Amino acid sequence: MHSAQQMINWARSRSLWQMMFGLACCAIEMMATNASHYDLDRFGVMPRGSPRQSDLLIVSGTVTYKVAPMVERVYRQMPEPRWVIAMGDCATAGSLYYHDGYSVVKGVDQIVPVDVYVSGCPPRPEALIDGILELEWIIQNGAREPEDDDV
Amino acid sequence: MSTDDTRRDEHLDAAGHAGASETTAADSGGGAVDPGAATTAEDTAATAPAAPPPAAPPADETVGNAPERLVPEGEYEPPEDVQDFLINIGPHHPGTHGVMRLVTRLDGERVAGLDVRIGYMHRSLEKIVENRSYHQVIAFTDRTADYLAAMHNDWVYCLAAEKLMGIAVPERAEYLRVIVGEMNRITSHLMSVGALGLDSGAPTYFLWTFNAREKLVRLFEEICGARLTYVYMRLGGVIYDAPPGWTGRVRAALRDVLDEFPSYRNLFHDNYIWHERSKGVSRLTPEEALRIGAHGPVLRSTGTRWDLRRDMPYSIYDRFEFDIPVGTTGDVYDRTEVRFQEIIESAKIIQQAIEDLPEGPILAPRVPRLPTPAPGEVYARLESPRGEIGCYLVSDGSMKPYRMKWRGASFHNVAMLPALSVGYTLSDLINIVGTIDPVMGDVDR
Amino acid sequence: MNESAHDTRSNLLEAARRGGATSLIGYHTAPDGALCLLAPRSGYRRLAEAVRAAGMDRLDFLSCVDWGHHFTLVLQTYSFASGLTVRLRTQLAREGHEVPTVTDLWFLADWEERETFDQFGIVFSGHPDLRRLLNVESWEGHPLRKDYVDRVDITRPQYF
Repeated sequence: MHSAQQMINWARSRSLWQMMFGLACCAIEMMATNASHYDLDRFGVMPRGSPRQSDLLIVSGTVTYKVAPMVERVYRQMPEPRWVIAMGDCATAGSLYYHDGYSVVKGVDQIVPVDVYVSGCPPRPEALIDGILELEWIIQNGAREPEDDDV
Repeated sequence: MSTDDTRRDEHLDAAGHAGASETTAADSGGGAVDPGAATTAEDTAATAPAAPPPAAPPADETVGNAPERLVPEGEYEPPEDVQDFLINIGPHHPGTHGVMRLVTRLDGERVAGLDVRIGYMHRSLEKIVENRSYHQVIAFTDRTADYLAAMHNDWVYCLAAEKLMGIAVPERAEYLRVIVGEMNRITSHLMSVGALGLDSGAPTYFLWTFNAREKLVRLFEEICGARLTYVYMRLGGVIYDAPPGWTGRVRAALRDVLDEFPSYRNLFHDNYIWHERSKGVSRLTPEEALRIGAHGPVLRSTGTRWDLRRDMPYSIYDRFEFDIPVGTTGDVYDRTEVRFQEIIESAKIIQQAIEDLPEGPILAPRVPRLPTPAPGEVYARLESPRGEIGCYLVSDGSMKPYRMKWRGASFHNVAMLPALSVGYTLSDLINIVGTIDPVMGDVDR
Repeated sequence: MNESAHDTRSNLLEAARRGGATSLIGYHTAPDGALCLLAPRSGYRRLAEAVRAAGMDRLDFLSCVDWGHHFTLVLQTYSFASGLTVRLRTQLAREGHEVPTVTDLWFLADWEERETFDQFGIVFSGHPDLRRLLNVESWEGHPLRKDYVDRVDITRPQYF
């Protein structure tokens, strides 16, 4: 891609403003990652209260049928380009509520398109940082980061 | 300290607020305060309050029981045709307390009515548990219920199940349970006051207390591998023993936390903005607190010295010496102070428990892998950082619990919100929610 | 059990027995120390008032157990002063039985009864505002019943 697009992608990936969408236990680890010890601010990620001012939605916690319309509404209110990280096992696939959890949506990707899944229950702050770095690579290069064992 | 108080007094008096005499008259009605015992929360008689005591609703008010205006007469004249309006706070809001919807009826800035709608974090705990074995339930209780006090939630379930099955917990496991339980109380309170500061508009509080919390969370990670949802307590004891040197590291971490404690406590205690925002807000008398069924720090902030660890002791809490901090007026300031003092008391308990930690097994012998207790029912209760939690367990003789009813502390705390916040302003409402410290996992289960 | 708990317990049983078999069918002490009272549905409210008058001012929970052919409503209270725990039980049919509310006796019973209505479908007559608490307002069915079938397809979201 031409250099102007590269420059824009680089800038976008290095200043992802995060929409605080903490639902459950993963929200605590997300807040711990934002706090001074694991410091997401050094990656340019700043928590914002309003979806109009953010470009990254980190869905952290279990999505229930009652809260699902709100997730979708918040996602639709975010201006493009926007990305979604599904943080934690509950947002990825419903986690341990998969069986018999009548009120739980089994994964937030049934509601919004997800770019990066970070698994863990809850994922460590380092895992969330890894997910954000993965997203930064995707934004810069348009594809996911090749792993060592990819053929 | 007295010079600070007089300076504060002058400032408040110049703005036309009520003097100190009103406070002493209003809060001496606490009949349940232990006589002669020093209240470790700050004396509110020394510093002037920021709001008049709640008066009886004037006869011509049409918007619920809003008390008299805080603004003196003549400074603000509302237009004749003022109407109250509905505002929806939540379910997703930047407050860190999770998803809760507050449908607020406002008269200007004043909350005239409040309808709390919950259920956005309802993860069907009680239904799921009916289809799991007794050991598997523990993975649910510490996530689906109050996840900030995960040790306490596992503990109350283990207390109930052990009573049902007649399992005796070895001594070392009891002491380890007390140590991690009290450490969890400290981390939970740190999180709570940090989030309260964040909601009030002061992110520094949040960053400082989270920094202190990290020291303890690391120790949790050393002993059981997880930072937040531990699954550490099992039926009959605990699953992992303390690694060598762990108790020394706990002592060192506690020393660090207690050394820093004055700095982040004084962010609240010495900050006159916080005093103005919190003193007199959502006052609660002991009688009113009992009427609405308050428990935990909310009840203790009114002056009632009730704590399940001392009054209905479970586990080995009767062996430890600790105080029960109480407040005097039950307002937002006192609730925060009570939480801070409880951190000190928890540190005391941990020190004592570490000194007396005996050697021995950490898990009761021969606990079956798929327990099938005899048919029966049991209820166990416990003092978690948010109040009293309980677990009602019914068994029908099979390997799955027949019914588990979870009594959540935050469920009842949030049910009390309308009683606590009608008449105060919208920004006070956010503070009140912060001091109630709800965890939506516990509210909705 | 200490002195005051003994006294409270005997006072309560005295008051309950005075209503005859219409308000107390039987009682026993559970292994965890709670006094368990069984009331018929018609005597539930009277027995709840007697329990409240005996000083049980703290509500632990109000819930229900689905025993297949009937429900058992369980109300547990305890008292600060005496430390006595009382578990009051009454049996209901699965359909059509209403129970009087105890919201005026214990403030916290409001939400507990709403949750029991939401999860089991038990109607509390006299409740100021009986609507669903935890589930979506338009949810069909009462999830904690044993015969509840989860009709939501996990591959296609149908959340409303």
